Amino acid sequence: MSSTPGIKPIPASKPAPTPLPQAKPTELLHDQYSFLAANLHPVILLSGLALSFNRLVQDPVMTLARAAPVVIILQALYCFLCLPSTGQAPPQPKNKWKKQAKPSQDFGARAVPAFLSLLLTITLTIPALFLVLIFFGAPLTTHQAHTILLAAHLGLLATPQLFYVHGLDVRVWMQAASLQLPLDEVYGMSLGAVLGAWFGAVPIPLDWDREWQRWPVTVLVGVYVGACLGKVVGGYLVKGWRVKLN
Amino acid sequence: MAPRRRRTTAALALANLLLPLALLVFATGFFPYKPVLPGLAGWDEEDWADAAGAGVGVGAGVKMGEDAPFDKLVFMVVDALRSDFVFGKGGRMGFVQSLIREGSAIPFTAHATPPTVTMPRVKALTTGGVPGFLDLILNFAEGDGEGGAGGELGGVDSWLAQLRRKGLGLGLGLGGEEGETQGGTDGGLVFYGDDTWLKLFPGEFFGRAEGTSSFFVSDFTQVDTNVTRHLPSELLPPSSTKPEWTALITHYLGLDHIGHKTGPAGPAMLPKQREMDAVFRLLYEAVEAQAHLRDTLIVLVGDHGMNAGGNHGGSGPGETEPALVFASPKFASPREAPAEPREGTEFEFYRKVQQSDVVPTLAGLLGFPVPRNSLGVVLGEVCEGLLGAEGWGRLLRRNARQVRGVVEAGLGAERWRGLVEGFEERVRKGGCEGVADGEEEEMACLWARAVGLKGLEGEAEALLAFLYKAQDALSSTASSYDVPRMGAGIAIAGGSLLLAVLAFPVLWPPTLAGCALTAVTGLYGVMMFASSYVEEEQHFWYWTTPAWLALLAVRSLQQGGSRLSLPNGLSVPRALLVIPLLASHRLMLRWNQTGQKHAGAPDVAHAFFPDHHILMWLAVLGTYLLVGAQLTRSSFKGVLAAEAAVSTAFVMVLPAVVFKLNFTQADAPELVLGLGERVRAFTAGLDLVAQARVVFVMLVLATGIVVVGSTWKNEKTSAKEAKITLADRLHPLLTLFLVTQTRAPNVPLFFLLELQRSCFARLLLPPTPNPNSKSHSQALPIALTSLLLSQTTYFAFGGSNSISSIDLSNAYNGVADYNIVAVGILLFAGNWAGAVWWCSAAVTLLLPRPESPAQSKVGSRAWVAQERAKLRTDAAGSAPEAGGDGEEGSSPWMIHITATTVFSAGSLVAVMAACTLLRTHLFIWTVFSPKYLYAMAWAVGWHLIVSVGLGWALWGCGGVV
Repeated sequence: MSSTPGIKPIPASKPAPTPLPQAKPTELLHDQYSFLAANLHPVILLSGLALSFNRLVQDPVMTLARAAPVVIILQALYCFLCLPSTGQAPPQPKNKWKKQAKPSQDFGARAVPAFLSLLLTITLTIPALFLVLIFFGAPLTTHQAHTILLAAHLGLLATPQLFYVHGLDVRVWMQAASLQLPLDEVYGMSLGAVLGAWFGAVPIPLDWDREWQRWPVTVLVGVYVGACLGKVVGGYLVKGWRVKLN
Repeated sequence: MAPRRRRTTAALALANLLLPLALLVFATGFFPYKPVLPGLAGWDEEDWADAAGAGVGVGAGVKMGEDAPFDKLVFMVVDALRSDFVFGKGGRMGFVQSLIREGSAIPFTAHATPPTVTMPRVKALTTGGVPGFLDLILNFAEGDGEGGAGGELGGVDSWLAQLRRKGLGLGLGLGGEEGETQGGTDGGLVFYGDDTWLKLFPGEFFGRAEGTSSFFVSDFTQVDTNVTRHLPSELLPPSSTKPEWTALITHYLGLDHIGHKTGPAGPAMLPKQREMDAVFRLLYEAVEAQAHLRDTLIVLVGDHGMNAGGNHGGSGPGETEPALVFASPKFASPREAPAEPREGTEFEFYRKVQQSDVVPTLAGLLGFPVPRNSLGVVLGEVCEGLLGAEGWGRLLRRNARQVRGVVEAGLGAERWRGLVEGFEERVRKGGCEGVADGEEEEMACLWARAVGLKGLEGEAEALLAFLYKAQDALSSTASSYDVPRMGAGIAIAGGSLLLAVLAFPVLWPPTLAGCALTAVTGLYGVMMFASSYVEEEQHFWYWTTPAWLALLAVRSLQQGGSRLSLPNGLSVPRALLVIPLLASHRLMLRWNQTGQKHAGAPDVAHAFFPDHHILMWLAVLGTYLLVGAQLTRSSFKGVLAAEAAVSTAFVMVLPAVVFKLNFTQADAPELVLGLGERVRAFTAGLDLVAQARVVFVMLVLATGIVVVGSTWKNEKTSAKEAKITLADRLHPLLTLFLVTQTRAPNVPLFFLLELQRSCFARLLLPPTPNPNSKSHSQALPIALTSLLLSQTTYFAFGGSNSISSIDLSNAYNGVADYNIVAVGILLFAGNWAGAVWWCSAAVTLLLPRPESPAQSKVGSRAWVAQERAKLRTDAAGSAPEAGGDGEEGSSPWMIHITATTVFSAGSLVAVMAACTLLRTHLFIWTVFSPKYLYAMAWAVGWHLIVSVGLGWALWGCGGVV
């Protein structure tokens, strides 16, 4: 693979687009730092959550807002250090200087897509996820800041790695949305975060009258635990499986 | 294939037959029938013997009961009079408070046992018994508004019956009572107020009476002025037109109405409290001033309280703590009147007593035998001072003997005697501490101790100990569960579940919908064991429904297949239909705030619409317009000529709109505010009953026209012409009926429901037909969808698992005389409107719909017709080869019903198991028992009658295309 920029774009005008090759599970970069960083990643996320839990319960908005930049950096580092960037560049002019993914990618070829992945997460997926959260029952007339920050954390945990690995190909994203990608640690983390958010709503109606039952603490915990669980399960236990809904 | 199909049908039929059996068997174990001692109590030999010592009785000059300090009673019930309204610093009943400080009034906080609705409370206040939970059903089944007749009390012993007998000079016993009436109504009972009393004590029980109906809770004033206007003349010395009374009973409803409408902090609440205070003052000053009322006791009592939202029915602190005040110038025990409730309580200002304690107390003060079924304990604060030590002791003994009678009736006289004899020896050596084992033995021991102390010091205390123990033991029903029966009920429901599961034509491999149904049923079952999830059940459905919608979208994406073409020529994946579905779902779940935790939080119906009532009426009119359009386009299409169809639809919808407007003006005037004044003036001549009847008669006529017309037309038209199934034709008619049964703020929800149905019609279409695949049937996904949305809409319409959320306002539409069947149907249709609607919608989704050529042109429908046509030919072609295990073996409707049966049976098993395992739980009567009642309504009303019965009829109609 050459390191020359300019990857041939997918011809959009073709009447019958080439069928998408069967997606394969993502493999980590082949160096020990990647392996170490990839396994340290969920540990850092969860311990961060555990350490800031009390502050989160006391002042969710402030805590989530302060934690967001840290999570951005963590996710960028995760993409940068551990994951192969998109094999096929999406037909985006701004990506033309991006280098192709390979174990010996140089700094720019990995840093730029990592940066773009987070940019896309912030501009595209977080607003979309905010809407999804509202649709699934998040408060609309109150707690907007809480819900926006929850969407931000959900988006940060669920999507940068997908952008980084799969780029912007609509068909791949359709596959991702319809659960047709093979499970791996990237996709597992995304699915885990989303499922975790859904399950996180369970304790809210209980009459225990605890502080942590307030919006959005349980859902946020669900997101973090789900993402880390999904990452580990997807990366090791069920790697390569596909979800089949008849 | 045929035998297998017959087997599954038989299994399904048996499963559905077992459901009501399971409900019945369980209910008889869970709500045991309490025997009521018949007849009126009289003075017995022990009473005579006791009294003889005090110079009263046969031998002496004074008749039994004539030594009592009072001979007349004014019993003033104020509905929902919570303790703090009278005693608290926020209350406005200053005259009552001043009497308390002077000592002429003796206050209590009277505990009202749940269910805190009027009828059972009136029963407790008059008979002294603890009404069983089944009285609650009777309250709603027969009552209107705030109460009703559930098992008349005319023949049951109560202080009313006793006073009536005493006042009228009737003999003992109930037989031939009417014949002995002396001089008409002289000395009888007089009643003004809530007509619940007139239903409980029907016929000629009251000498004079006027009932007020609590039909529209928007009536704050009329219900009360109708009572108060009688009082001045009743308080005058007796005359020939108004003969003397022994008891004057009033029941004021206005305060409760204000609570329901605006909550305890509403603007009309304090003026109403002042009004009630003024009525009390009027009564008290009359008693002070007038000679003939000298020996009159006044009792002011709330039948129940209200919670922070102004509702009642449950066991919240506010709901169970009404005020109770005894007043007379004869009382003289000044006391502090605290402005704050006791530490750690919200509404306990004075000693907390039971409501039933009123009954023996009245018996002591007015001199009549304690009513037979009373579990009350005489109130020392009231009686001791006036009766003197000897009289007080006698009253206590009377009370204790009467309660012993109740205990004996429950245990059997033999057993009781045996128990008491066993303790007689032992109690002489000491108290009952640690001697007795179990409640029955403890009661026997305390009784034996009290008998042993007769005439000695400490007797009163011993008698009270026995009385309180017996009251406690007999009030709690925990001891009277029939656990084996409850277990049998669970087992039968379990058998029904097993049969229903086996009735599925294919169990393996599991489908997405099959797994989802299993998960929903399982999670629901687990949830039933947590009281907070039962109270907040809506969250479960609000939580699972969007997930299922998302799964449907994902599945649609995976299957690829046909796309949805938009008017502008573009096409999008069908999965995008999930967006309007999710959006409408999200809007619906904020429509009515339900559940306990956030009761009263702002929502669309209660916070937004009152401020934007014009917007609400626009949405309501839009919904009616949609129904009208559907009537034209599907119900009457082809049956009537186009012009006739439009005008018929108009003629049907217009009275419905006018009725809704007039009904809302009566029920919730704050939502009308002068709108449609001319329409209302024009229709003022026709009462609401007649207006509702017009709507219903039109519906029946239209149904007849549609059924006959479409059948007749069908014989003539060829296969190629436009065809609409009869189920599709009847659906708009059902919608119009359900809209009529729905409160105005909820009417626009039907617009959203219709939107959801049309989205599902496209989203739930079979994927590209594949004759080899057995999974092309959409029956199971449709069944699960309709189940989830039935539940979701039930809660979105404001339903909950609490008794207080039952909406009675539309249960009497078009019903003038009381008719239990009609009211039952209307009540169910009103409260389960969305759930009933989805049953019909599910059938229209299930039916293979022949598309008309006209509709095919719409484009978005063209492929529907093609796919369905192909599907049918495929199904027809493959059925013979499909062998015994294909889904083709069962009709989609059978699969649909199998799925709803599985859920119904599964949820019943869970609810019954929860009620059995948690039968000693603190919340058993407040959370789990109401949930069981609701589970019964869901299983019988929604599943058996609507889903199976109505669904079957509609599915059968589907054949008449």
